[in-house]
Amino acid sequence: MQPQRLQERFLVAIATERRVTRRGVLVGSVRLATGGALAMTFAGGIGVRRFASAQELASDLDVLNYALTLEHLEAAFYRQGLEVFDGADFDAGVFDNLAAIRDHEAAHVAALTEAIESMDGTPVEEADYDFGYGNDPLAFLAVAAALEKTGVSAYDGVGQFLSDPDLLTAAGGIVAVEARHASYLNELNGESPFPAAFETPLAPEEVLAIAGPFIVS
Amino acid sequence: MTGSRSSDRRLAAVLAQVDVSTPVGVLNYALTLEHLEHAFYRDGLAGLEAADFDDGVFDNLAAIAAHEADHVATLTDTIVQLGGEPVTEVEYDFGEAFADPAAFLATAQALENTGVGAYTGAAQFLIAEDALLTAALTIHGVEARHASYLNRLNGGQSFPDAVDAPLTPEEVMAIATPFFVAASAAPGTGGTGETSGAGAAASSSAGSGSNAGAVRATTAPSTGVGTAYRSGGEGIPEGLPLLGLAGAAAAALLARRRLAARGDERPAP
Repeated sequence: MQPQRLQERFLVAIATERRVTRRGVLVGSVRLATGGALAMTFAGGIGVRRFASAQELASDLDVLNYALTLEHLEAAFYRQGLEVFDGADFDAGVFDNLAAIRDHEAAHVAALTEAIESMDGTPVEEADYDFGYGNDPLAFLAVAAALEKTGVSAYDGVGQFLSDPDLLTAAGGIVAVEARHASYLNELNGESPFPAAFETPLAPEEVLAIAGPFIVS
Repeated sequence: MTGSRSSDRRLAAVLAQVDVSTPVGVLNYALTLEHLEHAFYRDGLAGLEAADFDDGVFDNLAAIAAHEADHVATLTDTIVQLGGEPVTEVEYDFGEAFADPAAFLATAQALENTGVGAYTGAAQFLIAEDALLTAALTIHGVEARHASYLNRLNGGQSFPDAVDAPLTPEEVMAIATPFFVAASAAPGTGGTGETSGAGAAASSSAGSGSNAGAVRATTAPSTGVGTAYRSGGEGIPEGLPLLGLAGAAAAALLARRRLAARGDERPAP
């Protein structure tokens, strides 16, 4: 007897709890819609706020700190979430994959921090976040998919501002992994793993509108 | 084995046509790979149907095929706009990759992971071309999504490493060249009528049976990859099988071994 395929079981789970899922997505949508306004209220000292405009990404260090700001957010999201949830909250294997993603984001934070320090820059630090998923694993997965997709778009949008070829190659190696994550998380959320033939590059101000609302201080 | 020396010549001839020193050259390098991927899905799916796979898989593969067609069209248009001459599709021999749905999926996995590494490695050549670089990155991400999905289908890790490894044109072409029909890919060289090493190299060993459909190999073999991809000789870098690609290539090998064990191979088209 073959175990049912993961996607099938997950689709059933999502169908069963569709209302929960919709609520989770709705929370995210509301937050997203208010993102622009909220972002404008940020006090100084927060990395995302500093890079509200593409024109401000004048140096490789600026680009790396912009990337690090997003990697901090992702790393904290998975680290905190996987302390709230355990393996029983997901189908078999999912928790382990989420833990692998968590470890990847932590590795990205470490690599970017190290690179910035090696260039005599000051790496941005982790902020306080509110991701709004509560105790709902499906809401957590929905936010995860949104974050990964945004991460891909963010890297694709600012790769052009890098001037060091080695940094560009490293960023390319990171964004590929974000896209791999996005593919997986889309599928977990019952969506196409690759909804378009091309990614959508986003400018820093567009990324800020999406990610900003998750940052509380 | 005279085939090995001939493969070396073919690889050298293919590499001689890769020029990443100009934007058009970089885009043509990408287009060469997109043509290969596009032809693989187009021709492979023509001989397969939804019932060959688990639910939903065929539709996803068809979506990938459409993406590759879009990539080919976009790169071709861009090269023309830049005043360059886009490379055209050549003749491919996918050999045993088309013998069975499992072999098809395993080869798809290897191709997609190679594509990701190729774009990761080549982005630096477009560093002075902001718009072209951004466009290339938007393709790169989609190839990574494909690779992630195909890794899953083949029972591997969707994201085996925290950072994807870049591949050089030499590494990429060492993997791609065995799919090129010799006379087509490298006119005037190696025209021996030699068939694809990629399909033929791995079909002899025995392995465990497969459940077909979406392949779910639980482990990738640690041996054999080097043999399969190094059969072309010293032109292939030593470190290659150790990259993230290794799992994909190993899965491809494993699938072909299963085919051999089942003894239900169809003749190559």
